[in-house]
Amino acid sequence: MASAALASIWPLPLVLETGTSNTTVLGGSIDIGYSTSSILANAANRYINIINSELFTSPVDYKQGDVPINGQLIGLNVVVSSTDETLGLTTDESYTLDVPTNGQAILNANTVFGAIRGLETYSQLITANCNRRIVKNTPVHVVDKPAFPHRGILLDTARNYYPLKDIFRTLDAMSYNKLNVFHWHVVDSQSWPIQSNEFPELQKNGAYGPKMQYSYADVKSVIAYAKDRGIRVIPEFDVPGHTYVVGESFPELMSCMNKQPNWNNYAAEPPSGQLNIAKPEAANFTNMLVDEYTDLFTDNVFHLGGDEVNRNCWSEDPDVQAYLAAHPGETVESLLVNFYTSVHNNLASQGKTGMSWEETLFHSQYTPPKDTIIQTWIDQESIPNTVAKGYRSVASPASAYYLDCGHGAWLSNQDGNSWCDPFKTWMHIYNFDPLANITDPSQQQLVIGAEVALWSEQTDSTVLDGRLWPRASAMAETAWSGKTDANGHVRTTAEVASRLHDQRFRMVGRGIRAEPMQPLWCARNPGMCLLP
Amino acid sequence: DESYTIDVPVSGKATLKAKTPYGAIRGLETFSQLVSANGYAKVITNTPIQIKDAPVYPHRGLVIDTARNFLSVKTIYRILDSMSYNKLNVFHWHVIDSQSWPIESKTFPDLHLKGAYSKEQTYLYDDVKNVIAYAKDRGIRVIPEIDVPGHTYIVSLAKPEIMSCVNKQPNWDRYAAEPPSGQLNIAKPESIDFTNKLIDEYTKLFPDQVFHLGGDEVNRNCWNEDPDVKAYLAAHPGEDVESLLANYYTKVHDHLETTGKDGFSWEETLVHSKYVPKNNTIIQVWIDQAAVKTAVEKGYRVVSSHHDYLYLDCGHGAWLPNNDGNSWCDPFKTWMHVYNYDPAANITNPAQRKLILGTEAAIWAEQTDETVIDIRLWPRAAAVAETTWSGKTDSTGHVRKTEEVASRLHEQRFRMVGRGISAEPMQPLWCARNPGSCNL
Repeated sequence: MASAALASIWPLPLVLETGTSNTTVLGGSIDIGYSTSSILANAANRYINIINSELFTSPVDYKQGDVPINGQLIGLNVVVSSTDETLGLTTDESYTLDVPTNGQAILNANTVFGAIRGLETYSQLITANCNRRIVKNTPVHVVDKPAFPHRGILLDTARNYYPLKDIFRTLDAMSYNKLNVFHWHVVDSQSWPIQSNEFPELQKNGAYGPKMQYSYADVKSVIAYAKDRGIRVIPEFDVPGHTYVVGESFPELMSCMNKQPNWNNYAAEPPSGQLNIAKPEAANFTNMLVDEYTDLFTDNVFHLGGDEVNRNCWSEDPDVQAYLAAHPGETVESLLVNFYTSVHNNLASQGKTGMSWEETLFHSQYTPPKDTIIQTWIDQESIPNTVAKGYRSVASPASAYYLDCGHGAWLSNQDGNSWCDPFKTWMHIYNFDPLANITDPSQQQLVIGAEVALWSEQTDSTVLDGRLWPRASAMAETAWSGKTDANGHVRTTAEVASRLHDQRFRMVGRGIRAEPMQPLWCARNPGMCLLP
Repeated sequence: DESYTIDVPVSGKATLKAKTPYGAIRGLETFSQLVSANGYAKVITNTPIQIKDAPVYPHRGLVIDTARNFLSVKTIYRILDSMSYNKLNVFHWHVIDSQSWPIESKTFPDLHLKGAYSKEQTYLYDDVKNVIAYAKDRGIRVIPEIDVPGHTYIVSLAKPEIMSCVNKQPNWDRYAAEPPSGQLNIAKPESIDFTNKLIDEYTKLFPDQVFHLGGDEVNRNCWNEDPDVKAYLAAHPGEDVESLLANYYTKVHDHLETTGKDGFSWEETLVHSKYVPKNNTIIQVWIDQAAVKTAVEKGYRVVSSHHDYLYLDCGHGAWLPNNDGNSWCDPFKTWMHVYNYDPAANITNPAQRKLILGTEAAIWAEQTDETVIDIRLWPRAAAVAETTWSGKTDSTGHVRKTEEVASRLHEQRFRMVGRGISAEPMQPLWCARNPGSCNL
């Protein structure tokens, strides 16, 4: 058997066996048999187009002449055993793929989503050799399934706006990397782009402009586009902090609105503003929004935020002070617990599972419902600490997975680093292990996956692709393939660099402006650009 | 002379006066920035307007590296356009380096036939002439750099016989600043001859008065451990690697002088070798601000590219795949940091200050290519464009602060995006709309 490293698949499949023959691809035909699934039909069409328009040659092979051909591939048969198209945390994404030296390739999956993963692998097996499409090292046998079920990107569309085409392109790029969660951080202090039927003023006053909005139709098209790619859309309505923009419509609900110049006493970044948790109206408002958006967003999981909640904002608010004076025995902490209790109970009554930032577990007196998924970001230790308490964890440590970091401070009079500098290189991201320091297997199971985050203080359309890719690909492999290969060997960045170069150039060919990793010379000469 | 005046009356015709077409080009850019949109109408607010303008520094450039990764001619045109929007006037073309030789050579065609990344990733003579013409139309000089004797691995693909320490692996770091290693063998007269023939060729192709001969990051082990160099030195006692290097520089700079051009070279030729550059050589500083002082005290003209402020490629971490850490020149230089740089800091003597011609912000391309070049350059290069056109202080002597200029830079950034340049965003749009609300 030839070395598996010769086939450039990203992320690396669980089992990849290759032969020593080469096979030409006669056509991009993909046959879904008697399936009536529109998801599968759309995927097949999509990959036929990719295969028929892509002529990708690895930089390593740039001087390669004609390779000898031993057979022809007529097309691909896709067989899906289940008609269940539920997309959620427990969706089966496994598949097997067999590409013979001669004849018909076969892709088997339990669900259409497993088939979609397999189609991506199939498209990566096909490369160009002197203007012919070939599959190298046939027969190829792939058995594949993900190590973690939750593999996502958080995109902040509130600090800066992204038109739909950017979101669609990001979903495409995610599908090239087998990522399956689009965590949509849709509102924040700086803007409220999304339509609300319950409170239309929120969008009218809070969106950056009429052309910087997401209507219901827009949201539904994002959800459908994502589902076609096996990607869940998990919305986040971040409360009670990060809500200045609500005050542009409902100032009566708010505390510490846009304190200047000392916003930093009241918020993590300007402008300051948090829901006034001493007012029952604040929780009512939140619950009405949650009722609205749990209908619009179909995923079972709904993110309620809960990060960077500032206590001064409330303890110095005269209205809160008056309330507490009138209600001895209550404190800002107990008010916060009440707020979280109300909103999380309401969410549960909608039949959804909550997701929230680690502060709701570690930095308040609240105890989230046991099925709440805790998203950690502050410290790497938060991951083992979360699962030790019996909660499921999604790992987003700022030190490894915050893709926005490394562009220095962004306040106009600050000449220095940002809080989360330095820039996280793909190597640093690749080397991170979400299971680090977790030895108990039942706790390891509670780490359901990871998300890289692209906060948008210094990011918008112009830089989106370059900020995300190929660094998100590094996390995508950790999350799909795990850290070790079948022998228990922990994959090193030196070993995978070539494959990631291929993935980067392939994505550029597919219209994603992924940033370059090295001089082209290094991509063409693997192993010659390593630290001795 | 890039000076100009503009008069915009409340009603009637505006007048732009300049001594040269290049002053007029600067004025046209200013005029275009005066015009903004109000609804669907175009307006100029706050008329009548009188502008008198001239640059503080005459040399305001970018170093663009097209060797580590290739940039198409179309991309170079867009870079030149974006430079003109910021009144930058020097395109320092770092056209070759160890990783590739994209520029056509008629003297040694194997250089580009074997050294370019591909046939498509090549600059033929016509491409070069088109770039020079496009630049001149925008009042931008093109200064080419043929970086010798280091940074020349690529020459080994055409002329291995004149090279030392070619692609030493795995310990390239003993012989070079980055892989692949390779330097011209300065013990061989053929190296000097080779360099001089390239000077002959390219001084004809590039019309600018200034020609850059590189001279940075020259590694001594490369020669000390080369058997051929060792044999030469054994046969010529009294010579050593340092004298060979000084001799090399003397020969090639003397030859450059015969073409009537002024030399331009990196600070190492002045402070890290025994060579003494000619009086009219311009010294490009990148390592140490102290080198600016050293150079002007010795009477040299200086262009500063201090890496701590003006290396725009820094801040993306190390780029060797098994190096999980920072790059040598991290952190990322924010626009505020770039804006705060003063190339003449600590130089009080007015005659010496005049020797500082200006700056060049550099974008080395190890981690940059077509996909990201705009966002790496802009709007940060606009920050140094202002400090070199307008100086650091306003007319009252007040040193401009970043929080005072942020609004104007936001405008410049959004204007450039509108003109097709993918300049990166500085802050949330909310901050751009609410000046003064996003300060520390």
